[in-house]
Amino acid sequence: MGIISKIRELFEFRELIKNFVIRDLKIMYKNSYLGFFWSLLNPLARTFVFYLVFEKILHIGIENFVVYLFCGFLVWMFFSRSVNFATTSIVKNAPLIQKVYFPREILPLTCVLSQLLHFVLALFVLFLWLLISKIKPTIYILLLPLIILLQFIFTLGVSFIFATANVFVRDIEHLMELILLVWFYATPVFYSVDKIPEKIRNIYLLNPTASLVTFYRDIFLYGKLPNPYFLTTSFLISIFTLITGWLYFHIQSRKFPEEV
Amino acid sequence: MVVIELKNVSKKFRLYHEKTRSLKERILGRSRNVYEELWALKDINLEIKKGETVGIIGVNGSGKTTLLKLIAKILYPTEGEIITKGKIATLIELGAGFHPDLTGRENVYLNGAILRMTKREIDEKFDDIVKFAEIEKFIDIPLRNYSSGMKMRLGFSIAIHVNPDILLVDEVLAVGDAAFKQKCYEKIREFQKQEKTILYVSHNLESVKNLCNWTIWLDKGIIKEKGSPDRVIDAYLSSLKKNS
Repeated sequence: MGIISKIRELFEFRELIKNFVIRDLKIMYKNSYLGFFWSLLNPLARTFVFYLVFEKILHIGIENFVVYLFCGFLVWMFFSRSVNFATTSIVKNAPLIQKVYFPREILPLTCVLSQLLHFVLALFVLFLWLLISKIKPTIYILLLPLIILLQFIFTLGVSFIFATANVFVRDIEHLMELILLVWFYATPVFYSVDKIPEKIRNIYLLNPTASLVTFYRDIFLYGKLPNPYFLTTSFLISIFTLITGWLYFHIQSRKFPEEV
Repeated sequence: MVVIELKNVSKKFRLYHEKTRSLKERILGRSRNVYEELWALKDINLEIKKGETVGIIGVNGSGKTTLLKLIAKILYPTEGEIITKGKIATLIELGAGFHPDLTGRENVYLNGAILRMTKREIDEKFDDIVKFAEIEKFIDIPLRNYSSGMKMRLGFSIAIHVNPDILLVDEVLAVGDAAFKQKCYEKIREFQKQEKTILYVSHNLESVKNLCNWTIWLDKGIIKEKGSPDRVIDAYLSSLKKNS
């Protein structure tokens, strides 16, 4: 099946996608007092902790450190949570996969889409903070949808890969913690890209989560155009990741009902 | 018009003696190679036309459910080709995807979407679904507080309100008391009037006789006999007697 007909099929199943996303959100905050506020509290609290540690104790000396950190956590939390949930999405829905047909892509896709909703909510907090900090937006803020799209494409691609691999090798879900820990430190959430030795900086920024953090900082904090070279490489790498990830997922998905 | 076509379809399963899903076992154990091959279906050729109701009978393990799952695209054939036309709804299990933390109402929408109903369809049929399931009072409480009978009735009620072109039914309609079964058969009659194509797997031979235009008898993965329900069922019954 080609990509076009798969997209058409996903469109046919949009009702199910919507329902799965709603289910995820409802279940996540069911029986919690603060409910949806957790989507906002979580990145805020993390930012606060890191602010205390790095600004007040280690005196890292980065201007507007709160916004700086928040940009990093926005990307990181979206990415890590999407990938984390997507990894087990196929295995956890085994009974469903064995009983009903629907495009299996829907399962990792809904994980990423639910996180996207949390992400958008958290963006509002960022806007609020920018307002408070009196940081004036520039024209480059219009690049935001493009950067979110880039982030979505890359995250979905990685999600497909881990979701598939975990069906065949269940160690993946245990490895995830370690993989994401390493990935977190490879992403400039609490440090500046300038700290990376110049020799390897170009390679370092080929990691889309790393360059994404810098893009958000560029458009929100510094009000400047993100580096066009890295915008281009990130896009190419993200699209490559999505296509590879989807192909891997698609080819293996026929075996899912027998393997889960 | 042929809406379901199977050409030389075979399905092989690998039955692992011990599931080896972890890295350690894969690297160290080599136990992965311990499996048996089982041909659940072998060289099936089948054409089903629009509006037909086809019964599938056979002893347990003869490949009936596998056949439905192949047509529904839940499983894929090892060999051969399957062509289907139109929207398929599969009723292999009632209440697929029901979540205990969601209310009855929320589960109707979730399960309905899984069975390929659109939101508008569910909106329109919502009251009927709830009324049919006889759970009006409980529709807004979480499913975890339902009795198993209530859950079953709700799943069942959603299932018979789907509106597909092709309906694949696997025994699920046999649940429930006599009055419920009666309602269900009426619903199938209604589907037949609307020219829907139905594949009906059942051990209830009487219902197969009453509902189906023709019948397939599966035995160890091959079509032993097909044709008019009376003739196929007689052949099936006499083989059962011979073996016992």
